[in-house]
Amino acid sequence: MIDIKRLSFGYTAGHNVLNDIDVSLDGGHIHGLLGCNGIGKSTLLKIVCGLMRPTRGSVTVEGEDPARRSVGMLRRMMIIPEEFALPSVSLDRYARLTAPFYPSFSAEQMTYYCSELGVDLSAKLHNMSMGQRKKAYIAFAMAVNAPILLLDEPTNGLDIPSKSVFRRLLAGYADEGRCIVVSTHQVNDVDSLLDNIVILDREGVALNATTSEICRRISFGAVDPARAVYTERTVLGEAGVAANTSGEDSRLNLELLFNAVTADRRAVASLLENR
Amino acid sequence: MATINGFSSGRVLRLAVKHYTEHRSAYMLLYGMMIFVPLLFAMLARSASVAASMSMAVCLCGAFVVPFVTMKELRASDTKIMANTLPCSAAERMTFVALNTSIVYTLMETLCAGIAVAAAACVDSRGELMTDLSHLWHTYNGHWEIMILVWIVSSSNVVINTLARKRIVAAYVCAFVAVMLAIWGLERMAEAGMMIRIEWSERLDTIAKTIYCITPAGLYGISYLLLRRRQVKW
Repeated sequence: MIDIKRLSFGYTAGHNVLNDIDVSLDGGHIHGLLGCNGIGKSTLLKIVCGLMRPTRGSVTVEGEDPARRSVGMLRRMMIIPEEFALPSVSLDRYARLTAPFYPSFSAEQMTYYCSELGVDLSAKLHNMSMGQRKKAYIAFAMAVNAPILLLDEPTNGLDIPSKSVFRRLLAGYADEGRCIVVSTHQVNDVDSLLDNIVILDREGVALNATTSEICRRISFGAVDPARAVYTERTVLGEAGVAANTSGEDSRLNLELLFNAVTADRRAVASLLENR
Repeated sequence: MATINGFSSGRVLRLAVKHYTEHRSAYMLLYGMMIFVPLLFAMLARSASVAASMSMAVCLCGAFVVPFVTMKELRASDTKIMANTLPCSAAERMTFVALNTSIVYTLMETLCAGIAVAAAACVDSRGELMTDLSHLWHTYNGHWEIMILVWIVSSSNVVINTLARKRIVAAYVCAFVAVMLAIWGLERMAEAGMMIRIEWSERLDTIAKTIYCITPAGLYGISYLLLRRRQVKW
Protein backbone atom coordinates (compact mmCIF):
# COMPACT_ATOMS: atom_id res chain seq x y z
CA MET A 1 0.00 0.00 0.00
CA ILE A 2 2.73 2.45 0.98
CA ASP A 3 6.05 1.99 -0.80
CA ILE A 4 8.98 4.09 0.30
CA LYS A 5 12.14 3.72 -1.77
CA ARG A 6 15.54 5.20 -0.84
CA LEU A 7 13.80 8.24 0.63
CA SER A 8 15.84 11.09 2.06
CA PHE A 9 14.51 14.37 3.36
CA GLY A 10 16.01 17.46 4.93
CA TYR A 11 14.40 20.72 6.03
CA THR A 12 17.64 22.53 5.20
CA ALA A 13 20.10 21.73 2.43
CA GLY A 14 22.88 19.38 3.46
CA HIS A 15 21.20 18.32 6.71
CA ASN A 16 18.93 15.35 6.20
CA VAL A 17 16.42 14.27 8.83
CA LEU A 18 15.55 11.08 6.99
CA ASN A 19 18.22 9.06 5.23
CA ASP A 20 17.77 6.24 2.76
CA ILE A 21 14.43 5.01 4.07
CA ASP A 22 13.45 1.84 2.28
CA VAL A 23 10.27 0.27 3.59
CA SER A 24 7.02 -1.17 2.32
CA LEU A 25 3.92 -0.92 4.50
CA ASP A 26 1.26 -3.38 3.39
CA GLY A 27 -2.44 -3.43 4.04
CA GLY A 28 -3.91 -5.68 6.71
CA HIS A 29 -1.31 -4.71 9.28
CA ILE A 30 -0.85 -2.25 12.10
CA HIS A 31 2.64 -0.87 11.62
CA GLY A 32 4.50 0.67 14.52
CA LEU A 33 6.84 3.48 13.52
CA LEU A 34 9.39 4.01 16.25
CA GLY A 35 12.44 6.19 16.63
CA CYS A 36 14.19 8.65 18.91
CA ASN A 37 13.08 12.28 19.17
CA GLY A 38 13.81 14.28 16.02
CA ILE A 39 14.51 11.19 13.91
CA GLY A 40 11.76 12.17 11.45
CA LYS A 41 8.76 9.95 12.24
CA SER A 42 6.24 12.77 11.95
CA THR A 43 8.06 14.11 8.90
CA LEU A 44 7.78 10.70 7.26
CA LEU A 45 4.02 10.64 7.95
CA LYS A 46 3.70 14.12 6.41
CA ILE A 47 5.59 12.95 3.31
CA VAL A 48 3.31 9.90 3.04
CA CYS A 49 0.18 12.06 3.13
CA GLY A 50 1.52 14.50 0.55
CA LEU A 51 2.34 17.44 2.77
CA MET A 52 6.02 17.34 1.89
CA ARG A 53 8.10 16.15 -1.01
CA PRO A 54 11.16 13.93 -0.43
CA THR A 55 14.54 15.43 -1.26
CA ARG A 56 15.58 12.13 -2.80
CA GLY A 57 13.89 8.80 -3.45
CA SER A 58 10.19 8.18 -3.84
CA VAL A 59 6.96 7.41 -1.99
CA THR A 60 3.94 5.82 -3.59
CA VAL A 61 0.60 5.30 -1.91
CA GLU A 62 -1.42 2.64 -3.73
CA GLY A 63 0.82 3.31 -6.74
CA GLU A 64 0.25 7.06 -6.67
CA ASP A 65 2.63 9.87 -5.79
CA PRO A 66 1.11 11.52 -2.69
CA ALA A 67 2.69 14.89 -3.57
CA ARG A 68 0.24 15.05 -6.51
CA ARG A 69 -2.47 15.29 -3.85
CA SER A 70 -5.27 13.85 -5.93
CA VAL A 71 -8.69 14.04 -4.31
CA GLY A 72 -9.09 10.25 -4.67
CA MET A 73 -5.88 9.62 -2.73
CA LEU A 74 -6.70 12.18 -0.03
CA ARG A 75 -10.09 10.53 0.47
CA ARG A 76 -8.43 7.18 1.08
CA MET A 77 -6.11 8.55 3.73
CA MET A 78 -6.62 10.00 7.17
CA ILE A 79 -3.99 11.43 9.47
CA ILE A 80 -4.31 12.16 13.17
CA PRO A 81 -1.58 14.68 14.00
CA GLU A 82 0.10 14.78 17.39
CA GLU A 83 -1.12 18.29 18.14
CA PHE A 84 -3.99 20.05 16.47
CA ALA A 85 -6.66 22.67 16.98
CA LEU A 86 -10.31 22.17 16.14
CA PRO A 87 -12.83 24.91 15.33
CA SER A 88 -15.27 26.35 17.84
CA VAL A 89 -18.22 24.21 16.79
CA SER A 90 -19.74 21.07 18.29
CA LEU A 91 -18.28 17.68 17.33
CA ASP A 92 -21.56 16.77 15.67
CA ARG A 93 -21.49 19.95 13.57
CA TYR A 94 -17.80 19.41 12.73
CA ALA A 95 -18.56 15.89 11.52
CA ARG A 96 -21.49 17.14 9.41
CA LEU A 97 -19.28 19.83 7.85
CA THR A 98 -16.29 17.60 7.14
CA ALA A 99 -17.91 14.24 6.37
CA PRO A 100 -19.21 15.24 2.90
CA PHE A 101 -15.57 15.28 1.74
CA TYR A 102 -15.28 11.58 2.67
CA PRO A 103 -17.84 9.37 0.90
CA SER A 104 -17.05 6.39 3.14
CA PHE A 105 -17.87 8.26 6.36
CA SER A 106 -20.40 6.52 8.59
CA ALA A 107 -22.45 8.56 11.07
CA GLU A 108 -23.47 5.37 12.94
CA GLN A 109 -19.83 4.44 13.46
CA MET A 110 -19.07 7.97 14.62
CA THR A 111 -21.80 7.67 17.27
CA TYR A 112 -20.45 4.24 18.27
CA TYR A 113 -16.83 5.41 18.56
CA CYS A 114 -17.89 8.50 20.52
CA SER A 115 -19.93 6.46 22.98
CA GLU A 116 -17.06 3.99 23.43
CA LEU A 117 -14.52 6.77 23.99
CA GLY A 118 -16.88 8.75 26.22
CA VAL A 119 -17.07 11.81 23.98
CA ASP A 120 -20.19 13.96 23.90
CA LEU A 121 -21.20 14.63 20.29
CA SER A 122 -22.90 17.88 21.21
CA ALA A 123 -19.94 19.29 23.16
CA LYS A 124 -18.10 22.28 21.72
CA LEU A 125 -14.68 21.23 20.46
CA HIS A 126 -12.83 24.33 21.67
CA ASN A 127 -14.13 23.78 25.22
CA MET A 128 -12.70 20.26 25.34
CA SER A 129 -9.47 19.30 27.07
CA MET A 130 -6.58 18.09 24.93
CA GLY A 131 -7.41 14.44 25.66
CA GLN A 132 -11.11 14.90 24.90
CA ARG A 133 -10.25 16.70 21.67
CA LYS A 134 -7.94 13.87 20.68
CA LYS A 135 -10.61 11.27 21.39
CA ALA A 136 -13.14 13.31 19.40
CA TYR A 137 -10.83 13.46 16.40
CA ILE A 138 -9.90 9.77 16.72
CA ALA A 139 -13.63 8.95 16.62
CA PHE A 140 -14.12 11.10 13.54
CA ALA A 141 -10.99 9.76 11.78
CA MET A 142 -12.03 6.15 12.34
CA ALA A 143 -15.61 6.82 11.21
CA VAL A 144 -14.20 8.09 7.90
CA ASN A 145 -13.24 4.45 7.15
CA ALA A 146 -10.15 5.41 5.19
CA PRO A 147 -8.05 2.44 4.04
CA ILE A 148 -4.90 4.24 5.21
CA LEU A 149 -4.86 5.60 8.74
CA LEU A 150 -1.80 7.45 9.98
CA LEU A 151 -1.60 8.17 13.70
CA ASP A 152 1.06 10.39 15.22
CA GLU A 153 1.39 9.82 18.96
CA PRO A 154 -2.29 8.83 19.25
CA THR A 155 -2.18 8.00 22.96
CA ASN A 156 -0.62 11.32 24.05
CA GLY A 157 -3.09 13.03 26.34
CA LEU A 158 -5.43 10.05 26.69
CA ASP A 159 -6.29 8.85 30.18
CA ILE A 160 -5.66 5.21 31.18
CA PRO A 161 -9.20 3.85 30.50
CA SER A 162 -9.29 5.66 27.16
CA LYS A 163 -6.01 4.07 26.12
CA SER A 164 -7.42 0.58 26.50
CA VAL A 165 -10.64 1.57 24.68
CA PHE A 166 -8.52 3.09 21.92
CA ARG A 167 -6.52 -0.16 21.60
CA ARG A 168 -9.73 -2.17 21.35
CA LEU A 169 -11.25 0.15 18.75
CA LEU A 170 -8.09 0.25 16.66
CA ALA A 171 -7.83 -3.55 16.74
CA GLY A 172 -11.43 -3.70 15.52
CA TYR A 173 -10.72 -1.11 12.83
CA ALA A 174 -7.86 -3.11 11.36
CA ASP A 175 -8.87 -5.47 8.60
CA GLU A 176 -7.20 -6.98 5.53
CA GLY A 177 -7.63 -3.94 3.35
CA ARG A 178 -6.46 -1.33 5.82
CA CYS A 179 -2.98 -0.07 6.47
CA ILE A 180 -2.57 1.55 9.87
CA VAL A 181 0.65 3.31 10.81
CA VAL A 182 1.17 4.30 14.44
CA SER A 183 4.08 6.58 15.19
CA THR A 184 4.71 6.66 18.91
CA HIS A 185 7.08 6.90 21.84
CA GLN A 186 4.50 5.36 24.17
CA VAL A 187 5.41 1.83 23.13
CA ASN A 188 3.69 0.20 26.09
CA ASP A 189 0.36 1.71 25.00
CA VAL A 190 0.33 0.00 21.64
CA ASP A 191 2.76 -2.95 21.77
CA SER A 192 -0.05 -5.51 21.89
CA LEU A 193 -1.61 -4.03 18.75
CA LEU A 194 1.33 -3.83 16.41
CA ASP A 195 2.09 -6.62 14.01
CA ASN A 196 4.96 -4.97 12.20
CA ILE A 197 7.70 -2.88 13.74
CA VAL A 198 9.70 -0.25 11.87
CA ILE A 199 12.46 1.46 13.83
CA LEU A 200 14.14 4.48 12.30
CA ASP A 201 17.59 5.85 13.09
CA ARG A 202 19.96 8.37 11.50
CA GLU A 203 21.15 5.81 8.95
CA GLY A 204 17.66 4.84 7.82
CA VAL A 205 15.51 1.86 8.73
CA ALA A 206 17.22 0.18 11.66
CA LEU A 207 14.65 -2.61 11.92
CA ASN A 208 11.68 -3.72 9.88
CA ALA A 209 10.17 -6.99 10.99
CA THR A 210 6.84 -8.49 11.93
CA THR A 211 6.21 -9.01 15.63
CA SER A 212 5.73 -12.76 15.08
CA GLU A 213 9.16 -12.97 13.48
CA ILE A 214 10.69 -10.92 16.29
CA CYS A 215 9.08 -13.11 18.97
CA ARG A 216 10.20 -16.26 17.17
CA ARG A 217 13.83 -15.16 16.82
CA ILE A 218 14.45 -12.94 19.83
CA SER A 219 13.87 -13.44 23.53
CA PHE A 220 13.54 -10.61 26.00
CA GLY A 221 13.99 -10.25 29.72
CA ALA A 222 16.21 -12.35 31.96
CA VAL A 223 18.67 -13.73 29.42
CA ASP A 224 22.12 -15.22 29.73
CA PRO A 225 24.50 -12.20 29.62
CA ALA A 226 27.00 -14.26 27.62
CA ARG A 227 24.43 -14.75 24.81
CA ALA A 228 22.81 -11.33 25.04
CA VAL A 229 23.39 -8.76 22.32
CA TYR A 230 22.12 -6.06 24.66
CA THR A 231 21.51 -5.78 28.39
CA GLU A 232 20.28 -3.02 30.65
CA ARG A 233 19.66 -2.58 34.32
CA THR A 234 15.98 -2.30 35.22
CA VAL A 235 14.15 -2.03 38.53
CA LEU A 236 13.54 -5.78 38.33
CA GLY A 237 17.20 -6.56 37.72
CA GLU A 238 19.22 -7.18 34.57
CA ALA A 239 17.20 -7.52 31.38
CA GLY A 240 18.45 -8.18 27.89
CA VAL A 241 17.89 -9.20 24.32
CA ALA A 242 19.22 -12.49 22.98
CA ALA A 243 18.51 -15.12 20.34
CA ASN A 244 15.40 -17.14 21.07
CA THR A 245 16.51 -20.75 21.31
CA SER A 246 13.56 -22.01 23.35
CA GLY A 247 11.52 -22.99 20.33
CA GLU A 248 8.56 -21.05 21.68
CA ASP A 249 7.56 -17.50 20.85
CA SER A 250 8.82 -14.99 23.40
CA ARG A 251 6.78 -12.15 24.83
CA LEU A 252 7.62 -8.93 22.96
CA ASN A 253 9.21 -6.20 25.02
CA LEU A 254 9.13 -3.27 22.63
CA GLU A 255 11.00 -0.94 24.93
CA LEU A 256 13.87 -3.37 25.31
CA LEU A 257 13.89 -4.11 21.59
CA PHE A 258 13.98 -0.39 20.78
CA ASN A 259 16.86 0.22 23.20
CA ALA A 260 18.76 -2.75 21.77
CA VAL A 261 18.29 -1.54 18.18
CA THR A 262 19.31 2.00 19.15
CA ALA A 263 22.43 0.65 20.86
CA ASP A 264 23.48 -1.80 18.13
CA ARG A 265 21.17 -2.25 15.14
CA ARG A 266 23.47 -4.77 13.45
CA ALA A 267 23.54 -7.11 16.42
CA VAL A 268 19.72 -7.20 16.54
CA ALA A 269 19.54 -7.60 12.77
CA SER A 270 21.90 -10.57 13.01
CA LEU A 271 19.49 -12.26 15.46
CA LEU A 272 16.68 -11.89 12.92
CA GLU A 273 18.85 -13.15 10.08
CA ASN A 274 19.87 -16.34 11.93
CA ARG A 275 17.37 -18.81 10.58
CA MET B 1 -23.34 20.17 -8.71
CA ALA B 2 -21.08 19.91 -11.73
CA THR B 3 -17.77 18.07 -11.91
CA ILE B 4 -15.54 18.97 -14.86
CA ASN B 5 -12.10 17.35 -15.26
CA GLY B 6 -12.08 16.45 -11.57
CA PHE B 7 -13.03 19.98 -10.51
CA SER B 8 -16.17 19.78 -8.40
CA SER B 9 -18.28 22.87 -7.74
CA GLY B 10 -19.96 20.84 -4.97
CA ARG B 11 -16.68 20.61 -3.09
CA VAL B 12 -16.18 24.38 -3.47
CA LEU B 13 -19.61 24.88 -1.93
CA ARG B 14 -18.82 22.42 0.88
CA LEU B 15 -15.56 24.28 1.55
CA ALA B 16 -17.54 27.52 1.77
CA VAL B 17 -20.12 26.06 4.16
CA LYS B 18 -17.37 24.55 6.35
CA HIS B 19 -15.33 27.75 6.34
CA TYR B 20 -18.18 30.15 7.14
CA THR B 21 -19.55 27.89 9.88
CA GLU B 22 -16.16 27.45 11.52
CA HIS B 23 -15.21 31.13 11.25
CA ARG B 24 -18.58 32.78 11.67
CA SER B 25 -17.51 34.73 14.77
CA ALA B 26 -14.56 36.29 12.88
CA TYR B 27 -16.81 37.31 9.99
CA MET B 28 -19.53 38.63 12.30
CA LEU B 29 -16.93 40.76 14.07
CA LEU B 30 -15.49 42.04 10.80
CA TYR B 31 -18.80 42.86 9.14
CA GLY B 32 -20.14 44.28 12.40
CA MET B 33 -17.16 46.63 12.52
CA MET B 34 -17.77 47.59 8.90
CA ILE B 35 -21.16 48.90 9.95
CA PHE B 36 -20.44 50.35 13.37
CA VAL B 37 -17.04 52.01 12.88
CA PRO B 38 -18.25 54.30 10.04
CA LEU B 39 -21.45 54.90 11.98
CA LEU B 40 -19.51 55.89 15.09
CA PHE B 41 -17.41 58.41 13.16
CA ALA B 42 -20.55 59.73 11.43
CA MET B 43 -22.20 60.24 14.82
CA LEU B 44 -19.16 62.10 16.14
CA ALA B 45 -18.95 64.33 13.06
CA ARG B 46 -22.74 64.48 12.57
CA SER B 47 -22.12 63.95 8.86
CA ALA B 48 -23.10 61.09 6.58
CA SER B 49 -20.22 61.80 4.21
CA VAL B 50 -17.87 60.76 7.04
CA ALA B 51 -19.69 57.41 7.21
CA ALA B 52 -19.24 56.93 3.46
CA SER B 53 -15.53 57.77 3.49
CA MET B 54 -14.91 55.73 6.66
CA SER B 55 -16.71 52.72 5.20
CA MET B 56 -14.28 52.88 2.29
CA ALA B 57 -11.31 52.98 4.66
CA VAL B 58 -12.68 50.08 6.73
CA CYS B 59 -13.37 48.19 3.52
CA LEU B 60 -9.68 48.47 2.52
CA CYS B 61 -8.65 47.22 5.99
CA GLY B 62 -11.10 44.32 5.57
CA ALA B 63 -9.38 43.46 2.30
CA PHE B 64 -6.36 42.55 4.47
CA VAL B 65 -8.36 40.68 7.12
CA VAL B 66 -10.54 38.48 4.87
CA PRO B 67 -7.64 36.83 2.96
CA PHE B 68 -5.89 36.25 6.30
CA VAL B 69 -8.96 34.57 7.83
CA THR B 70 -9.62 32.60 4.63
CA MET B 71 -6.10 31.17 4.47
CA LYS B 72 -5.26 30.95 8.16
CA GLU B 73 -6.16 27.28 8.60
CA LEU B 74 -3.88 26.32 5.70
CA ARG B 75 -0.93 28.11 7.29
CA ALA B 76 -1.34 27.78 11.07
CA SER B 77 0.83 25.05 12.57
CA ASP B 78 -2.01 23.46 14.56
CA THR B 79 -4.51 23.27 11.70
CA LYS B 80 -2.46 22.99 8.51
CA ILE B 81 -2.14 19.19 8.49
CA MET B 82 -5.90 18.65 8.69
CA ALA B 83 -6.73 21.54 6.33
CA ASN B 84 -4.22 20.50 3.69
CA THR B 85 -5.20 16.83 3.75
CA LEU B 86 -8.90 17.61 3.28
CA PRO B 87 -9.92 15.90 0.03
CA CYS B 88 -10.19 18.85 -2.32
CA SER B 89 -7.89 20.02 -5.08
CA ALA B 90 -5.81 23.20 -5.05
CA ALA B 91 -8.03 24.55 -7.86
CA GLU B 92 -11.17 24.03 -5.76
CA ARG B 93 -9.49 25.58 -2.74
CA MET B 94 -8.32 28.61 -4.71
CA THR B 95 -11.73 29.03 -6.35
CA PHE B 96 -13.26 29.31 -2.90
CA VAL B 97 -10.50 31.68 -1.71
CA ALA B 98 -10.91 33.88 -4.80
CA LEU B 99 -14.71 33.99 -4.55
CA ASN B 100 -14.63 34.70 -0.82
CA THR B 101 -12.04 37.46 -1.03
CA SER B 102 -13.47 39.15 -4.12
CA ILE B 103 -17.16 38.77 -4.96
CA VAL B 104 -18.51 37.67 -1.56
CA TYR B 105 -16.39 40.24 0.27
CA THR B 106 -17.37 43.09 -2.08
CA LEU B 107 -21.06 42.21 -1.80
CA MET B 108 -20.87 42.06 2.00
CA GLU B 109 -18.83 45.27 2.14
CA THR B 110 -21.37 47.01 -0.10
CA LEU B 111 -24.19 45.81 2.13
CA CYS B 112 -22.42 46.92 5.31
CA ALA B 113 -21.45 50.31 3.84
CA GLY B 114 -25.02 50.76 2.62
CA ILE B 115 -26.40 50.08 6.09
CA ALA B 116 -23.82 52.41 7.67
CA VAL B 117 -24.49 55.27 5.26
CA ALA B 118 -28.27 54.87 5.46
CA ALA B 119 -28.15 54.79 9.25
CA ALA B 120 -25.89 57.84 9.22
CA ALA B 121 -28.72 59.74 7.54
CA CYS B 122 -30.41 59.88 10.94
CA VAL B 123 -27.53 61.78 12.46
CA ASP B 124 -26.63 64.12 9.60
CA SER B 125 -27.01 67.73 10.82
CA ARG B 126 -27.50 69.32 7.38
CA GLY B 127 -30.90 67.78 6.82
CA GLU B 128 -30.37 67.57 3.07
CA LEU B 129 -28.68 64.27 3.20
CA MET B 130 -31.07 62.19 1.15
CA THR B 131 -30.33 64.24 -1.98
CA ASP B 132 -26.60 63.81 -1.43
CA LEU B 133 -26.77 60.16 -0.49
CA SER B 134 -26.56 58.83 -4.02
CA HIS B 135 -23.63 61.15 -4.78
CA LEU B 136 -21.82 60.03 -1.63
CA TRP B 137 -22.47 56.43 -2.44
CA HIS B 138 -21.03 56.69 -5.93
CA THR B 139 -18.03 58.66 -4.76
CA TYR B 140 -16.92 56.10 -2.22
CA ASN B 141 -18.55 52.72 -2.67
CA GLY B 142 -20.52 52.25 -5.85
CA HIS B 143 -17.80 53.05 -8.40
CA TRP B 144 -16.50 50.08 -10.40
CA GLU B 145 -12.87 51.29 -10.15
CA ILE B 146 -13.07 51.21 -6.36
CA MET B 147 -14.45 47.68 -6.46
CA ILE B 148 -11.50 46.62 -8.64
CA LEU B 149 -9.13 48.38 -6.24
CA VAL B 150 -10.56 46.33 -3.36
CA TRP B 151 -10.09 43.17 -5.44
CA ILE B 152 -6.48 44.13 -6.20
CA VAL B 153 -5.79 44.66 -2.48
CA SER B 154 -7.53 41.35 -1.62
CA SER B 155 -5.76 39.35 -4.30
CA SER B 156 -2.38 40.87 -3.36
CA ASN B 157 -3.04 39.78 0.22
CA VAL B 158 -3.92 36.28 -0.96
CA VAL B 159 -0.53 36.16 -2.73
CA ILE B 160 1.24 37.28 0.48
CA ASN B 161 -0.74 34.79 2.61
CA THR B 162 0.15 32.00 0.20
CA LEU B 163 3.81 32.96 0.09
CA ALA B 164 4.16 33.35 3.87
CA ARG B 165 5.02 30.19 5.72
CA LYS B 166 5.07 30.90 9.44
CA ARG B 167 5.72 34.61 9.87
CA ILE B 168 2.93 36.50 8.16
CA VAL B 169 4.08 39.85 9.58
CA ALA B 170 7.55 39.32 8.11
CA ALA B 171 5.93 38.60 4.74
CA TYR B 172 3.98 41.87 4.92
CA VAL B 173 7.13 43.79 5.90
CA CYS B 174 8.98 42.23 2.94
CA ALA B 175 6.10 43.10 0.59
CA PHE B 176 6.00 46.69 1.91
CA VAL B 177 9.77 47.11 1.53
CA ALA B 178 9.60 45.65 -2.00
CA VAL B 179 6.85 48.11 -3.02
CA MET B 180 8.73 51.06 -1.48
CA LEU B 181 11.94 50.02 -3.25
CA ALA B 182 10.06 49.70 -6.54
CA ILE B 183 8.60 53.23 -6.16
CA TRP B 184 11.98 54.62 -5.16
CA GLY B 185 13.60 52.90 -8.15
CA LEU B 186 11.00 54.28 -10.56
CA GLU B 187 11.49 57.79 -9.15
CA ARG B 188 15.26 57.53 -9.58
CA MET B 189 14.75 56.27 -13.14
CA ALA B 190 12.43 59.19 -13.88
CA GLU B 191 14.93 61.66 -12.44
CA ALA B 192 17.70 60.15 -14.55
CA GLY B 193 15.53 60.53 -17.65
CA MET B 194 15.33 56.79 -18.20
CA MET B 195 11.53 56.76 -18.38
CA ILE B 196 9.81 57.16 -21.72
CA ARG B 197 7.21 59.90 -21.68
CA ILE B 198 3.97 58.63 -23.19
CA GLU B 199 1.22 60.99 -24.26
CA TRP B 200 -2.02 59.96 -22.63
CA SER B 201 -4.59 58.94 -25.22
CA GLU B 202 -7.99 57.30 -25.22
CA ARG B 203 -6.44 54.05 -26.48
CA LEU B 204 -3.86 54.10 -23.71
CA ASP B 205 -6.63 54.75 -21.21
CA THR B 206 -8.47 51.66 -22.45
CA ILE B 207 -5.29 49.57 -22.17
CA ALA B 208 -4.64 50.89 -18.65
CA LYS B 209 -8.20 50.13 -17.57
CA THR B 210 -7.99 46.63 -19.05
CA ILE B 211 -4.73 45.94 -17.21
CA TYR B 212 -6.32 47.34 -14.04
CA CYS B 213 -9.27 44.96 -14.40
CA ILE B 214 -7.27 41.82 -15.16
CA THR B 215 -4.72 42.44 -12.38
CA PRO B 216 -6.84 40.68 -9.67
CA ALA B 217 -7.37 37.69 -11.97
CA GLY B 218 -3.62 37.56 -12.61
CA LEU B 219 -2.85 37.75 -8.89
CA TYR B 220 -5.34 34.96 -8.11
CA GLY B 221 -3.71 32.91 -10.86
CA ILE B 222 -0.29 33.44 -9.25
CA SER B 223 -1.79 32.46 -5.88
CA TYR B 224 -3.14 29.25 -7.39
CA LEU B 225 0.27 28.29 -8.78
CA LEU B 226 1.88 29.13 -5.42
CA LEU B 227 -0.77 27.17 -3.52
CA ARG B 228 -0.13 24.06 -5.61
CA ARG B 229 3.51 24.17 -4.53
CA ARG B 230 2.87 25.42 -0.99
CA GLN B 231 0.43 22.64 -0.05
CA VAL B 232 3.33 20.21 -0.39
CA LYS B 233 5.68 22.40 1.63
CA TRP B 234 3.72 24.45 4.17
